[in-house]
Amino acid sequence: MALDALSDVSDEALLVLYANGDPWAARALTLRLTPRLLGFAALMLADRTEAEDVTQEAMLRLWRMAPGWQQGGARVSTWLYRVASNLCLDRLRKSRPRGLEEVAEPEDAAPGAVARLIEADRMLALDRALAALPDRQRQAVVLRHIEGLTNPEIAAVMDIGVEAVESLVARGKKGLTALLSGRRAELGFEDGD
Amino acid sequence: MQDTDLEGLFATARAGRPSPSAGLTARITADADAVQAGFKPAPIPAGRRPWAGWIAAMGGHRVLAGLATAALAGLWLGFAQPAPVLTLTLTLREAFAADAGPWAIELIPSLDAFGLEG
Repeated sequence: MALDALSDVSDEALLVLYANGDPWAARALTLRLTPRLLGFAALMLADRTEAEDVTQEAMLRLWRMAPGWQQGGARVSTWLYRVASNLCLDRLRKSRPRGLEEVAEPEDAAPGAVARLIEADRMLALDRALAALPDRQRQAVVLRHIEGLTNPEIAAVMDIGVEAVESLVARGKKGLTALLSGRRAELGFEDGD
Repeated sequence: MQDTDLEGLFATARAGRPSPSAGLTARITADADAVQAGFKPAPIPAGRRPWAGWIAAMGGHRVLAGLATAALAGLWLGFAQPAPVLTLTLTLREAFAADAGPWAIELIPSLDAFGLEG
């Protein structure tokens, strides 16, 4: 089945096609899932290289478990976020604690592109504030507000109850607000942005 | 920092998701191909084998086994020609060679003794 014909096929059906030997299913799944997985890992780890390693490892685990995938169970994306979350947390536990200043500076924006500079400043501020949160709070906030998962989906990813998710998200947002307080003007929010 | 500001930061992060590099995509698809190459085709369940319906139509495995035995027995008879059949064949051949009528053919010569005793 060609790549174009797979655009309307669900992730779960693509995984079954892959397990049955379809050569295009893996490409379709890679194009569909890798950007989200990489974005999540990058925010969790604040390190592009490590985020790529986590993304590749999570996808590799997906390929390996494809023949045993139980249809009607968890969604592929939820399963992948769970694997990626665990891989990120493992790496965070093994690495030394990071300080606010250890988050890498973004690459220089194009000269004169004020909007890009503001955007880069905002991303850097958010990266640093997220890095300062406890791991579980960061995970919950990123999954809820950046990856767009529902609370029940996050509960499945993190293997906790929905109420615990709500608590983690609320505390995470409160922490971010406290960490970013006083930087409103610097981040360009005073013009009704 | 207000909730709306925080949502603005989240929106920026959503829009600024890093794109996977070509190298990463290539590594992931190479992994997928390597793993897929190791998959063994799943065995076809008995009910889905193409010849399962034909076997059922013939009466099942026992009937087919009987048919096969009968066919082999017929083949063996054709080649081996057991003695009684061979005797009959030779008798008929000699009778026709002597230009005798079919009434003169003695299919069971040993019965003559019983005929003489009346």
